[in-house]
Amino acid sequence: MGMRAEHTADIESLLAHAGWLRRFAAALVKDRDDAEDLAQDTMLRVWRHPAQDAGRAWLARVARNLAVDRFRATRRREVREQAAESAQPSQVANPEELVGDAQIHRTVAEVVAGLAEPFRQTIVLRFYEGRSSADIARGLGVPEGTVRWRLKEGLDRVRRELDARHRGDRSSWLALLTPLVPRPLPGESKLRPPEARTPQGFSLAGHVAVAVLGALVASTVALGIAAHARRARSTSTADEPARTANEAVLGPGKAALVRLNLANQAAHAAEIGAETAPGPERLDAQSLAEQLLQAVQDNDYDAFVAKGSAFFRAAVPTGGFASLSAKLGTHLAQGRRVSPLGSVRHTRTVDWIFKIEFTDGGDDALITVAMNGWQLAGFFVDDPTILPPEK
Amino acid sequence: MKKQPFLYLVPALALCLLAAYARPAHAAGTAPSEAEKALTKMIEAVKAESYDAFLADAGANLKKQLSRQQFEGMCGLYTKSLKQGYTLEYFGQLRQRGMAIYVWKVSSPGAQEDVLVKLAMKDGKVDGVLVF
Repeated sequence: MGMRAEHTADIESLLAHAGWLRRFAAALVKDRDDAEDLAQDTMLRVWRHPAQDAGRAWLARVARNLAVDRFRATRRREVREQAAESAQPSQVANPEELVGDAQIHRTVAEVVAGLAEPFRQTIVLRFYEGRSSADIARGLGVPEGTVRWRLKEGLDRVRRELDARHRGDRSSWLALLTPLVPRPLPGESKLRPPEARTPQGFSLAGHVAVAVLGALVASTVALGIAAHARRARSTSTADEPARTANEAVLGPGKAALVRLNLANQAAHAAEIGAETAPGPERLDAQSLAEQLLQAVQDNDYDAFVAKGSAFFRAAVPTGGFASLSAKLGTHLAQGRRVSPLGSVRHTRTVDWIFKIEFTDGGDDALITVAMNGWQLAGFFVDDPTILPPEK
Repeated sequence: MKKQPFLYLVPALALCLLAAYARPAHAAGTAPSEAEKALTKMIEAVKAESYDAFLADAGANLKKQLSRQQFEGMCGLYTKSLKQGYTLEYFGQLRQRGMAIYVWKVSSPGAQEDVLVKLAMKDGKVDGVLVF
């Protein structure tokens, strides 16, 4: 009771100073958003570590210290980024570029998928859909500061979980997080991701999607993709039949895989174990693959998402699907042969892999139907991105 | 008497059906020895964390694009589990951009997840590799 009363009083006290604190923070840092963040952080810090007299003098001191910390962190990051840039040979794209805009290891996506709400939703909207904090705040009907706090807390949880999974070896997964940081557009500061960013291509399907399934070795996989991506940026890709649908859906510079969803967080290892057994499940997966391809061919969004989990349905944007359908539908309509290749075990899903041979003579494609128990958790289309750029 | 041949057809048909069902659903055939050998060498190179060994069978394209830093990043993800052993399951071959792409599943008792590996071969060299 005592603690509760004390905190309530603290909050009231802090709120009373909120307006002043924002102005004070604005005086410490030039950027308006930085000032807002600083004010929020100060409030949080003071609330978590209350002093006897949490008056303005104490708030000012905390705010100043945090501002200094931020400045130092920014400087350190600048130095690291400059060092990283100078270490890269000019002909070779940096890792961030190599992985396109958003390829993260599947594990990262799974960790995100496993986050509690509202953190998962906020992270997905911000980093996978590319929506600004302001946009998210409007959409969810919460203050922008709340969104920023959720982002910070959500990312902290992701880091902790990844640390735990990698036995504290942060270097092994750190690079994979890079795509979570929106890439600055030309002319934008690297230190401050743009708040307003138009999602490119598939939004979740183009970001997580690629990313998630991308589960690539941030290095190796990136190779072909990067080369391909660089070429795609500089040349028109619209008329090249060899570049099949998924690439077009992802847009120039995007990578190899189209993943329409994260794994369903409700997955259970035992269910997955059962799924790996040969038997009717395989037939179901193949049947499902056929149905999904047919839905793509028919541009039937409802049919496409009908078999998916709630998260799958929420994650597949109609615009992205229409784009996929426009590109792949004609190809599929000419006729195809779908052959099961086998299954691949993942933490939360079992992926059923199929090869598609097109009657029109187009390149073969690999599709993945990710199943979580009996539910469809993801659908991927893989195209020939591991190939080198055409000379 | 005229119906007797059909009596032989029944067990024959049953045998055919049995044979069809007994085949693996993803009968992938056999991986070309050249490609499988290259993949095995690459996996061993990841286990040994040897950048040079990894690129021993690589074509110019792959050599040009794979930095040591990238390779080390990959080792950070897979070396530990691969050292506990692994099995390869050949999934089949794709035809993409006029090249042969070979697909395997790599499973390791030390890993919670399998990985799918695509290997692009060109003129007897590994020209691209995708792990996901």
